[in-house]
Amino acid sequence: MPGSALTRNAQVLRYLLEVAPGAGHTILAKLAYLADLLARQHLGHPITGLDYIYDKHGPFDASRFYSALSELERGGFMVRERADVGGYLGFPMQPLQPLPDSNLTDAEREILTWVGRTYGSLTARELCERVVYQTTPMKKAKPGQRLPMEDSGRSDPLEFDLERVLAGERAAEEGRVRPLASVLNELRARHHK
Amino acid sequence: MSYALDITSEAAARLNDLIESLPADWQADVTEVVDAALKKLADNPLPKAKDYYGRPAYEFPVHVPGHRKRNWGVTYRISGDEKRLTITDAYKVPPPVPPIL
Repeated sequence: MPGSALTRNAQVLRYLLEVAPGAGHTILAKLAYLADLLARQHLGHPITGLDYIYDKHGPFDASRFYSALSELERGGFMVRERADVGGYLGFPMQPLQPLPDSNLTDAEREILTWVGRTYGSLTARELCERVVYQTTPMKKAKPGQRLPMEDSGRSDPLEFDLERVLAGERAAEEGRVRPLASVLNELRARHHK
Repeated sequence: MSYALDITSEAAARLNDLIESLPADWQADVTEVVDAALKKLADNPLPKAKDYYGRPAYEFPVHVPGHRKRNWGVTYRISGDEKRLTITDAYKVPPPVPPIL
């Protein structure tokens, strides 16, 4: 398995484990959900191929999630431990060998890193109650229903777009910048009354 | 001391697209609103800084009397010598997701 391509779902979960090692099933699933929600808003598309329903512990796509975890375990990219987590049996997961290759974009990695660092240290209960259950798709759906993720996507191509920001940063590094005053003067000439 | 303001070619194109998304009769006024807002940023870029994925952003109302208010924003970076501020993107402010703790 090492050296071969992983599915996108497995790549995402493995990347999140790198940022938030020790995450259990609930936290890892919720981090993926939050990353998809942010990506829909800030990239215009989700990062994973997960199709979330309002499950017992919030947004979840059990079959694809566990399939991706099995893929990681079989390939030796992750190990699932057993631990007492507040009186319950938990499965904290640790990343093992690095991903051999990945087709995640820089912008997708930025979002995954931010989500893992921002929310990865919360307990599962905190993450669900304070963050996940406050998101629009969870508020709109009822238990057992598919979450209307597409309703939370970017509605206007002129809204914030992380890919555009990264392109702007590359332009800055390559020196493709101009004084703002000259750009504004051009805009004035173009849009004069 | 105020920062010198630069803008990337990509961000300049986006700023033009934003202005052109508005009715023609207030594009000129909005250009002045943007100019004033970005001068204010250059004078004092840090207070109330918003950020997206660790990148500082500045968001401001775009309001011309008689028209519905819009909220636009820019992401930016400050040069190592702290003399120049470069706008790296311009955008319409999106709805906040998810809750930030």
